This record gives sequence, C-alpha cells and structure tokens, in this order.
Amino acid sequence: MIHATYRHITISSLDGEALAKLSSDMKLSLSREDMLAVQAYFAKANREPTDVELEVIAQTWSEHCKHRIFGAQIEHTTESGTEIVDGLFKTYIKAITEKIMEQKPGFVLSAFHDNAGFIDLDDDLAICLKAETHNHPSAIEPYAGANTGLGGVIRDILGAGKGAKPVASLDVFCFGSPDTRQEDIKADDVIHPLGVMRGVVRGVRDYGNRMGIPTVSGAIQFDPAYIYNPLVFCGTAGVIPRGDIDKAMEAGLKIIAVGGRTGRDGLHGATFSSASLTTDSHEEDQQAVQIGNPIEEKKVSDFILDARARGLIVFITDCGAGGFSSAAGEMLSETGGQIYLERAPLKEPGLVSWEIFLSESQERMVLAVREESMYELRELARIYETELTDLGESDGSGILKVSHNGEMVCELDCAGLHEAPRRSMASTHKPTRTAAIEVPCDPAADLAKVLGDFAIVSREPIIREYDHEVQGNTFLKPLAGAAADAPQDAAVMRVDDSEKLFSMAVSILPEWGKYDPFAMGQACVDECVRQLILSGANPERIAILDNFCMGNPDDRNELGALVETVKGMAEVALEYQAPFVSGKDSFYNYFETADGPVSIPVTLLVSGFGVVEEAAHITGSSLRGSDSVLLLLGTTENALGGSVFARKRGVSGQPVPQTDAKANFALYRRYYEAVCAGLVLSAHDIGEGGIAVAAAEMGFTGKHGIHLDLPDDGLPLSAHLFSESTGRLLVEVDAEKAAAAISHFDDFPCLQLGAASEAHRSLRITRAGESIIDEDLSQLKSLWKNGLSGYY
Amino acid sequence: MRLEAEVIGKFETAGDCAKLLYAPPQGKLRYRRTRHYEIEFEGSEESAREFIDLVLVDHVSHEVHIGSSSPALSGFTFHLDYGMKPTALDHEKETILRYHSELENPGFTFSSLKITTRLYVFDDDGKATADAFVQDIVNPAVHVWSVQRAAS
Repeated sequence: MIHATYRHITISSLDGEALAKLSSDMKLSLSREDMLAVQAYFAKANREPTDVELEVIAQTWSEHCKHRIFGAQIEHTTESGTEIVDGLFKTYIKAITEKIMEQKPGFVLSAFHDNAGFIDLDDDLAICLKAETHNHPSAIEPYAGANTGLGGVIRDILGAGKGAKPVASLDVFCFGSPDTRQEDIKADDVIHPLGVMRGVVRGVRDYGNRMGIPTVSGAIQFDPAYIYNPLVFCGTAGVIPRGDIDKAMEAGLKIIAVGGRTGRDGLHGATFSSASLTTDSHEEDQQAVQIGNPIEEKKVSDFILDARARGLIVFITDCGAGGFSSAAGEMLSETGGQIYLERAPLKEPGLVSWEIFLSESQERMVLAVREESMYELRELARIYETELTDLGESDGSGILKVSHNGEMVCELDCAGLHEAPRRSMASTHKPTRTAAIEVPCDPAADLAKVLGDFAIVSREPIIREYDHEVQGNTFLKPLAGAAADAPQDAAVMRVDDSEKLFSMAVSILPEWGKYDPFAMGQACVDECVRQLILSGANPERIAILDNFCMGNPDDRNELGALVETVKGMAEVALEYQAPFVSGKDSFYNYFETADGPVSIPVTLLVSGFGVVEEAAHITGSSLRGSDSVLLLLGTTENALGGSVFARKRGVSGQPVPQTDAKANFALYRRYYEAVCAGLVLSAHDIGEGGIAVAAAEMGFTGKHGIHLDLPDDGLPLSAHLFSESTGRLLVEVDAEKAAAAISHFDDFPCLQLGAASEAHRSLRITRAGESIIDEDLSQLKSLWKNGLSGYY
Repeated sequence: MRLEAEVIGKFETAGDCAKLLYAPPQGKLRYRRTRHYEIEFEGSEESAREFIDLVLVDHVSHEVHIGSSSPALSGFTFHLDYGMKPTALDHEKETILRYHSELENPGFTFSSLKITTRLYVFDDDGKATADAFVQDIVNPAVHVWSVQRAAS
C-alpha cells in the first residue's frame, strides 16, 4: 500500500520574518500577518501544521478566492479629505444590490453566495451570468490559459444552483497592439501581443465551440500597458428551473467527484494569480498553467444536467481555483466532513497529498448526493462516459478532515478556515486637472483615422472564429445587417420553453480610467445598460456584474483609482436599479521589467443581462429604411477626454464625459416605451468614436446613404463628431412616424439629426448647410472592416 | 525498440513564413509543417508499424515515412521540432495511448511516445536562422524544442 506523502512544517518557533520567508519559499502568497495568524491557530491546536493544511489555508485566503482587497478597510484620501471605506464590496456592491432587492422584490433570486447570480426570467425559469478572468495563465500560455478560462466559467454555471445549463458565452480581451515592435517590449520571454491575441482567441474558440456553447458577445481593447499583462475575461450565461436554484448542505451526504482525473497541471493556480509576473514566470510557473479538455467537460455537463433533472443533486460546486480544497472546503464549510484522497482518480502516479488536494486539473465537479442516489448516478456516468468517484462524506463535525491512505493529512476547523485576517489599506486620489478647449479637427481625415484605429475596427475576423449559433437560440447575432457584418450593440438569446428572451452586453473603457476613474465607473454601467435596452431589454429587468483588474493594490494611487471607479459604478447602478449579482477581481497585474514595474490601468468590465419581454422589441443597430429619419437622443458635451479621437490626435488634458445618471435613465425608459409603441426601426449606441462612427456603422449595411445635419449650437465640431458623452442614442424612425416619435420625446433632449437616403451611398455630415464630411460608405467600411485582417 | 514516423500532408504547399512571425523575416522564407512521432515499444515491430499506418495516418490526405530518422522533406535550410513538455498534458498523446490501451491484442506495448510538430523552413540563400521562429512559435512554458540545420 502506498502511504500518504505529506510532512509537518515547523512554524511554532519562527518569527515574523522567517514566517514570511516560508510563505515565499512555498509560494503560498500569504503575508507576514497572515502567517502569524496561521501560527496562532496552530498554537491553539497545540501542533504544527502539515504541508497540506498550509496549502489549503493559502488557497482559501488567497486574493483570488477570498477577495481580501475588496473586503479590506481602506483609508481613502482625496482633495475633499479622508474617509474610511468599510470594505469596497460591502459598501458599494452588496449594499447597492440589497437596496435594489428591497425596491424590486422577486427580481434577484440569488446573488453573491453561489457560483453565479440568478434573476427572474419567467414563472418557471431563471437566468444567470458569471464572468471571470484568467489573466496570469494567459500571459504565460495564451492558448491554454484562455481555453481553461472559458472552461472554468462554464463550470461555474454548471455549479450554480443545482446545475444551470450553459447557453451563451462572452469574452473580453485586453492586449498590447498587434503591431507592437519587438524592440518596444522591454523584457525577455514576454510573448508578443500578436501571439497572445492569436493564442487567446483560439483558446476560447476551441473550448466554447467544442462544448457547443455559442459565443455571442465580447470586446477587445488594445493598449501598450497590456503588453506584459494581457487581460482575458470569459463569461457564460445559464438557464435553470427556479425550483433548482436553492441548495443546502446536510450531514450524511456522499461527496462525489465527476469528470476528469487529477494531475499536476494547474498547481498553485490560485496563489499564482495573486502574485505579479516576472521574466522568470514562464519557466517557474508552468505548473500553474492548466490544460483544458472541452470534450470531457461536455460529458460532465450532460451528466449534471440529467442528474439535476432527475432530482439527484443536493449540492454542487465546481473544482476551480484550489481544486478539491476549495470545492470541498466550500461544500463542507457548514457541516464538516471527510475526504479520502486515495480515492481520487489520478492522471499519473506519484502525486503527494497536497498535490492531489490542491490540483486545479480541469473538467472536475464535486457534488453532494444522497447514498440512495448513487446507483442511478453511476449509471448516468456510464451513459455519459464520465468518471464518477466516491470521494467522501459530510458529517456534522464542523471540521474539514482529509486523509490519505489512512493517515490524516489535514484537519481544519471550517469556521477558522474562512476567517482570514482583515487587511487595512490606504489609498489616494488626486483628480487630473482638465479644461475643455475647442480641439480643431479635419473631419474626413480624422474619421478615417478613428475608423481605422484598433479600438474601432471590425472584430469580424475574431468573431467568425466563434460559433455564435450552436444550440439554435441566437436571435440577435453579434454581426447583422444586410451584409451580416455590421456590429450590434448586444446579443439576444431565445430560451427554450420560455416566451421571454434575454440580452447580453459588455462595457469596458480603460482609456477613460487613466484620467477620471470615477467617470469610467459611471460610464461602464451606463454603456452596458444602454446597450441592453437598445437590444430590447426591459430597463426594469436588468442585472449587472463587475469585474475589476488592476496593477499593484499596495500602491496608494492605484488603489485610489480603484476606489473612485467603484464609487462611480455604484452611483449609476443604484440610479438605474441594476443590481450586481456577481463579480470578481484580479490584482497584481503588473510586470517587473528591467526599467521598473509596468502596471495596467485600473480596468473595469461591466457585463450585464436583461430580460427581453417580446421579440418584437428587438430592432438591431443597422439602418433599415431608405427614407427614414434619424434622431439623436441625449446631450453631447464638449468632453473629449478618454476618447479614441483624443488618443489618436495626442490631445491631453480634456475632461472625460460625466454621466447624469438620473437624466440618462429617464431617457432610456422613455426610449423603451417608444420601442414598445412600435416607433423605432433601429437604434445604435453612441459610444467609442462618437456620432461619426455610430452613423458610419449604421450605414455599413450598404443599402442606403446617411445625411446628418449637425446643429450650429456653439459646440466645437470635434465634440459633435467624436465626443463619447454618455446617454446618447442614434435612433431610426419611419418618416411617417417621425412626428409622433419626436413628440414622444417632448421633455427629453431629442434632435432630428438627419435621414437615410436612397439617392446615394455616402455618409454626408453638414453643419449649417456647410459640408463637413462627404465620404463613400463603402470606402469608410473598407478602412474599418480590414483593420484586424492582417493580424488574425 | 524504436521507430520514427513522419506524417506529411499531400495537398499542402509551402506557406509564407511572414504568417508565422510577428515581424516580417529577412528574405522570402517559406515553410511546411509535418508531424513527427518517436515511439519506443516492446513487442512486434510489424504490429507497431501497422498501428502507425492505420491510426496516425489518413491515407487520403497524408503520406507517411516510417522507420527512417532522416527528415522526410529535402531542400530545407533548417527544421524546428517542438512539442509538449513531458509534464504538460498532450491531448493527442493521451488519445493515442488510451486508444491503444483499449485494443485487444495490439501486438506491442508503448514504452514512450514523443510527438512533435516539425517546421521546415526553406530559404533559397540558405542563411535563415531559427531565432525568430523559436521566439515567436515556441512557448518555453509548455514546449520542448530543437533546431536542426540541413547538412551543408
């Protein structure tokens, strides 16, 4: 018989410095304070810990798993003074959601305590969404990192409730520019951004396509700051019968594992993702890169959905960061229980105890089931060709016990395990001084530059890699219009056995955050909600997720930018009554180059989903009529800060658009009423690139020309064309209904801006009768359409 | 015992190396890719050859060279061989080994299986070096690799 392979680690006699060194040597990523707390715990237990116990605590207390920075007490100093933030999550995310849940009972069915958050779809079904990052692994090995990033979030959906069905995915990436010169990469062994992009896109493709889950939504941002630390966000939506959302552990259940075997791939993933990258990361951290097998996960998915339908699952969670340790730890946190490591099926012999328990090998799920269900579950496993293992049981002890061939290798009080020391941090934010000036522009030339910028160009070469129609429920695709290549503001999915549909959208604006993080926080929520409403979602039935990535949280200024972003985000979410139902964060996205550390800007992704009551409310973003009228809803500010135009032109010191959340949401509600009344033919979000780009994109169907006549209202031309002010929509209405539509928006900023035309195929923009832009739409389209073709 | 096999696509033609690299290479370089299998086994060599021929080769689109350690293509300047590290999960290897383990009486057993992609680079001047290819194609986090120049 093989004996357990573990060891006891002496910590009782170590001082703080020695404890910190031990943490570093064992790659635990635990701070000196954490290690002192661990020492105190085991002093009370009157023994030394095992290596398994230290690894379990390291994983449980890791930033990735415990979100300690969002739970920290932060002393935040701005020009207005110093305030104490009693936890970013508690104050600005959970509190917002709780307020909204009081005001909107019955809409949010579950938030923050399961693997994904659920909202009400109809009387029988609920939908959920989860988004996660897989940044550090994707920097090391882009294909495998992105591949398993999507695999992991799909498992979150399978582990939500008693097993939700994954129905659609999204992905958002941040890369260095694909045309980055090699000499501009100031470190060895950093994968070129083009290689990262290719690897990441293919990795996501090969997981989602092979599992038969459509990838329908996404975004890409390019910035030199992401050369060393690319960001990979993957999200998945799921559907579940409402009765299968709630789950609770009990004593006396069998703990079973299903899916892939356990190996050495992915060890230390949770603690690796909580540390910064260096040039040595490629070699040293290779073990932290998991390898994915989507076919295996498809088999697991089929098994789980069938088992759930048969009522065989009491509790389920996925094996993600921390492997069995986090799954069993989470599952047994209230009841306690016993896990037998020798029962875990292994990919290779010779794994020691902590390797088995902490391995992040993919495609594994852990379930709690009744003993009497085991026969039927084994039969299902045989049918779906997935491996099922009886791993242990829950008892009422409150202790997590892990044994290996008869020897106890881990025995931890579940309550103590989850009580990581609270961090105290300090942050500073000093706003950038700005002054709006009239920035001159060469309209046609600047439009060409903006359309050809990596921020704006068509993502079609990448979108076409993803199957966005598998399962047959994609109602509004990422690219639509007459030529099926015009970008839509959001995707809309049908749901089997429901009359309702739902839409999914994303917003990410890191350029704004460099100058005004508060405004960025506001704008991301605003843009996401706006896009959902434009795709037909009911404004009263929208929920959002927050995903943060940043560089060094121990830098006061960087942390200050994070605090401001969170505040801005929370303000608008509350006004829009859009609750947060899930979220994640990723820190230490900075790279130690020879010239010093390079941090990413604070990057917020707001993703959202909303209920579409009827298919008739879905209008799309492409021009439909040959003589229809175009309305501009909302107000344009002279605020070019953060815009693609300003970045392209090297214009700095400009104010970033501020969001009047009350006014914007009132307008969106009124817009939705117009949709319900049948007044809208199509509508497009005015976002990056401003009105000029929005109009061009609407005209890329190629069927009609567009003429816009800008008002001569004193606003600079550059602002009219390229400002990215929030709260604006470009709406197409039938000429015969134009008067009714304009009347409908009587108390709102509404301007009859222009019209479609059958007489030409150009984008013509005038102001006070003077021609500003007169460009053939097909030529503009070719600038836009081929921007990424040479790279992907 | 040991066998090498190289599988070549019949319908593939040489591609432009610019598609593989992040910066355009000096000169007009072309490439072809093959799959190289190195098998150590015990048992019948005939059975091993038969297994390779039936399982690793699609006779419509592939041709295979079994038994020779010489590169299957000629006229190249160098070839770069890269494959998954022994500790990394290689799906193709896992699938082959799992398939073999489920056969009744295969006639041989695997002692080891190494799979690499062999990238041949053709440069009419014969001067091209592998540095850029190693940098842009190989990932030291998960790959092992070697470079062999053509005998001059």
